Amino acid sequence: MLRLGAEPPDNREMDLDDIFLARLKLLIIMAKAYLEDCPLGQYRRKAILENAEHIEAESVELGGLGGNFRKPENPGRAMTFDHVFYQRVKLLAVILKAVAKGYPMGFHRKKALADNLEMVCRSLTFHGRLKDMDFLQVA
Amino acid sequence: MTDIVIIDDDYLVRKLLVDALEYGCNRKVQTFEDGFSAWRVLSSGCAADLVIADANIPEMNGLELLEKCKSLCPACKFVLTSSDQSNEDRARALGADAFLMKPFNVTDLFAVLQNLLPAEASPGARPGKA
Repeated sequence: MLRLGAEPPDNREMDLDDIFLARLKLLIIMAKAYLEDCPLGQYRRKAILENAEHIEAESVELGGLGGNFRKPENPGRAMTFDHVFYQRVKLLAVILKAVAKGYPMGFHRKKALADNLEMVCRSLTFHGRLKDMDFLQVA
Repeated sequence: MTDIVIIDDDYLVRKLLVDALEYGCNRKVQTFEDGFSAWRVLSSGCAADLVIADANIPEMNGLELLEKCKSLCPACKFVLTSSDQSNEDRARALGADAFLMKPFNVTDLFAVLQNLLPAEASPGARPGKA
């Protein structure tokens, strides 16, 4: 019997964050498969559309919300790392919705998708290489 | 054509499974909210190639459904999902093909497809293949 998923003691019912992260991962897989020219059928298009719509709706930086809905005193604080990340995820979802609907995707749109995807993935995982960390060269 | 059946009373989990599996297999997936409704369809001649059921579903729980499905059609692949570790041994004893502990992610789902339905699992299928 194949055994997959969480290991004890991490097992629990799936919450909204688990669902969002699983769907985000699925969206990334869908985007990468599209960029590699994997075929799209009727059900794949439907799945992409449904998944992208869910991500687009759920991609909200909750930390920026709260009881205070007045204009922030320091507008610069609005563009936090989290805010940008969630906007990039939303953009990813919007682009994939266009793909699923069969909208024309030329070179520049595909490049924009690839670049945005790269930024999202970079935010999710750390791909630092030692040679990029010059400070390590100094004892 | 592969028939895939999903049974989970949690709408968000069920919807996630539908989107992931429809994408993975490029096939329609049937869903049910309780074990009895699923069994009524499965036992009426609509045998599925893959059933993914949560252990904790109403009317007929996932373990009962597993036992019935395997006695009806041993060739049918059955995946039990659960947030309770204690269901793993019982699932193995009843002949489950896979046990998916919650929370799981899409790579776990695709691994299930790759192992249990290798002909259908093609999220990265090359052009020219369906």
